[in-house]
Amino acid sequence: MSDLFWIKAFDSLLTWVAFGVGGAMLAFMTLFGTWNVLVMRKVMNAPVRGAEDLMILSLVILVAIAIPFGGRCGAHIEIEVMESRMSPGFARWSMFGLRLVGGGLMLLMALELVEAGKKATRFGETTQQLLISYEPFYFLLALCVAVYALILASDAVQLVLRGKISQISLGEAS
Amino acid sequence: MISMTALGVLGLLALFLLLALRFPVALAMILVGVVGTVVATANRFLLLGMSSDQAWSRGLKTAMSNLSGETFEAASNYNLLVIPMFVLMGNLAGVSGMSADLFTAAYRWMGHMRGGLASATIAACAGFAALSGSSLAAAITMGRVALPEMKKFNYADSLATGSVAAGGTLGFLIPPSGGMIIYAVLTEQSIGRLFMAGVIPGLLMTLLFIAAIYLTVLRRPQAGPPGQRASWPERRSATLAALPFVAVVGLTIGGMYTGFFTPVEASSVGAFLTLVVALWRRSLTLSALREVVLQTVKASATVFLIIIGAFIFIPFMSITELPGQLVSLMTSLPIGDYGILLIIILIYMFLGMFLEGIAMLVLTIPVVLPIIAALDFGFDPSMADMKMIWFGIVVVIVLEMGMISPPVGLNVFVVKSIAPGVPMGQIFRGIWPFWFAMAFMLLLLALFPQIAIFLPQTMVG
Repeated sequence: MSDLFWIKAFDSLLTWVAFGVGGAMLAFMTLFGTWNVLVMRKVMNAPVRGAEDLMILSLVILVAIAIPFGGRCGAHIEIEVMESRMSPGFARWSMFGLRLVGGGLMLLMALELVEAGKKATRFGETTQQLLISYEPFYFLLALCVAVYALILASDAVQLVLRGKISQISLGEAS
Repeated sequence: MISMTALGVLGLLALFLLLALRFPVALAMILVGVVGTVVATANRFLLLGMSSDQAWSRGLKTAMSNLSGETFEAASNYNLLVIPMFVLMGNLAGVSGMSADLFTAAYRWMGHMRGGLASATIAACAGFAALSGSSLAAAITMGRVALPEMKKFNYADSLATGSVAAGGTLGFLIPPSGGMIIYAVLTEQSIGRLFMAGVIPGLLMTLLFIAAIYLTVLRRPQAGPPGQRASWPERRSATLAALPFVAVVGLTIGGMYTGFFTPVEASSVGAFLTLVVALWRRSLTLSALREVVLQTVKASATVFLIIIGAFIFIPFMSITELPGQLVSLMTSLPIGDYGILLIIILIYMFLGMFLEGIAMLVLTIPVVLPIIAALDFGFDPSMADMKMIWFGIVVVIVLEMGMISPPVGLNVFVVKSIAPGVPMGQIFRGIWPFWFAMAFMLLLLALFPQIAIFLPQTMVG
């Protein structure tokens, strides 16, 4: 059976976001990190103020977009050794139930991140040098974790409709 | 009310049940960590005489606070920047052709000897390991280059596939290593010192693997017939082509050792230099760039979600005091420090047959680490950090053994995907000489801990 159209559209969007935002963050961390170390710190002896802050915030963005993307391309490790010893029906329905539990858990995490984000500025949760509030980054992480919750729920739907979960294929490279 | 120890044991059982049902490892740790923290914290307050409502409310509050706090803590951990950067470096090295150059250089120097192609594969894997922290990446990248060559020269399938699978495991030991980064974060050790601790054992392991190949072809000469002898100009040109690799590794690893870079800085510079090599060689097409970025994001997802899981699970284990109980139990056994170490290694080997390396690391460290901390293994108390670094290398090698152990040796499956015509049984048969080489390495590390701690002790900064 061909892929469900909404899964295909969602995968396409997720892949473009991962490529665009992930690529931008990786490029920033590589180029800015190197420039700050080699040029500003080692040659000019004047490291960029708040460079570490910017790197940390880039990392948060990268991790945030990586979590849902990883959920669609099989990045999150599962132990498959016992599956061959289960009946296909049990394996399918236990996985269905656990995907829903996982989705619920991630939704709870997203809600808690929103709550923590609301208090971040009040509690002085900022970067160390530039004093940038972590609030929007908590919200971004919450949004991405919520998307991962949706992905887990969509996995459960796929299991019911197709008996298996299709994933984004990145080829065999590294 | 339930005893804390029983709660800890129940938590571990629930965790393994969820894993057996194919629940993602990270989510299983988060679920058990959250539910366990609620119950354990409530239990503790109930024992203090607090009312049931208040105790459960406190438990819930603690668990929810951990859920958001630890997640953000992991995602914003500056030291963890090395993960995406070193993964990016490895992926860029893969597309830049540096891996093929490494193999060609090793091949030109060693290919004419019996088993020389397999030895060249090991040497090239060791080189690639210095650019990539992933054993799977090393096995895939080198397998694609080396397996066709070995087939061409009629190598035994078992030796050819075994050397690729085993050589790939060097990616986990030779810095930068994903496993070491996670161990360092979970045990609060210096990433740079752990990296340095992996250098000498990594080189020794490479030599031991080559010795294993030598012994194999000594017993069965037809398993590894000699290839063509390369001329001196061919050797020189191949060596020159591999020079960018030497420059990148020399600057990143050397920079860390001399204190010129911190590990985070070295990871950025290493990724940058590999990017320059890839651009200079015009190998970074748009499709290659897309592949590199997406693979890096995917690998980051794997590691970060599992670290988030560990950050939420570890406080639960601490509340139950189960690790402390295990320390008392183990240290009361009349078998000495090394007897306990042997038991731990055997447990790791057993778990390695079923669990993926990184998953096993995050699942076991909260329990095993207090036991190691309580033993001295001949280390002076002032060298407690060095003891942890030494144990980190021991653990990484045992995890490597798990990667090539049946029935779920991940590297073996990766090699099987590149060599679909070779039966699994044959690949596993080819693994044994390398598995024993790893066991011998563990013995060397137990007898001479200096192998691991010499470089971290002498590094600058």
